[in-house]
Amino acid sequence: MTLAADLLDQADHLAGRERGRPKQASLRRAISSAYYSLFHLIVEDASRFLVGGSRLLPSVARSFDHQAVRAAAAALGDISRKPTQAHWLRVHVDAPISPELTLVCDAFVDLQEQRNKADYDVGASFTRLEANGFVNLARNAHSLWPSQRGTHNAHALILVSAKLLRAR
Amino acid sequence: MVSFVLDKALEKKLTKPLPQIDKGVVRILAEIALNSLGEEWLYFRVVLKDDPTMTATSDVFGKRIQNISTALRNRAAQLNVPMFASVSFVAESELPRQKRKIA
Repeated sequence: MTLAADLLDQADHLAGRERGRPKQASLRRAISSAYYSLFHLIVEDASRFLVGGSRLLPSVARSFDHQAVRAAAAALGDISRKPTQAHWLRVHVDAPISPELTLVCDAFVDLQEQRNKADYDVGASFTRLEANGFVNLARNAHSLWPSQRGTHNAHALILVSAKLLRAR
Repeated sequence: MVSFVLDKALEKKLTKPLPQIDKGVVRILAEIALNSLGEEWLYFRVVLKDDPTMTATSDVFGKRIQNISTALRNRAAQLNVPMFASVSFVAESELPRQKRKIA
């Protein structure tokens, strides 16, 4: 099992704990783990795409910045949904961006925001269904990513995330 | 920062039911609020009928929320709402009583 898969399983486990009235701590950690499972899934593949099996891989993986991946995912989601809107990245991607990659990108953006709330907003409160919803969002993204990671548009996502492709 | 106003007419279009997508949707709530980075986001909150299959391991539930999320984000884009649309789900029994009416 990879770290990404283990984190997804852990998120699933935490979202289902405490039958009846779940503890907020369990639901918050479930949402956070769901986000990190997707982050590590993308970063692991991105690192392999950049340096293959090199011993540089852990250091390259460590260099990915959460906000940069989020900005890249948000850009692809925008381009996908608004095909006529101008965007610097549009010339670098194949149109149309697949619904599957769009869903992965949207899931990443949404999950990162929910993870920020779950980890830092003490005023927020989550229900089990909300937590289940976010865990499932991550699960859907996990199931779709393998068919997308080798595509040109996924490579664009990776390069923008790594800040190797940017607006000039 | 440019502030986007969600007027009643737009709110109505955003929150109209999704009969073709999922019959289990009771109501859709939409509001513009700041996210953790201070950006304006459109928050959809989808109220679902209580259903024992709504667990994290359920493929049926996973597919349902995937379809609903995609449909709502596409709807927001078609209505030219310029910000990201975040979608979360709540069970009918988890809402205060006054918000449980059918959309």
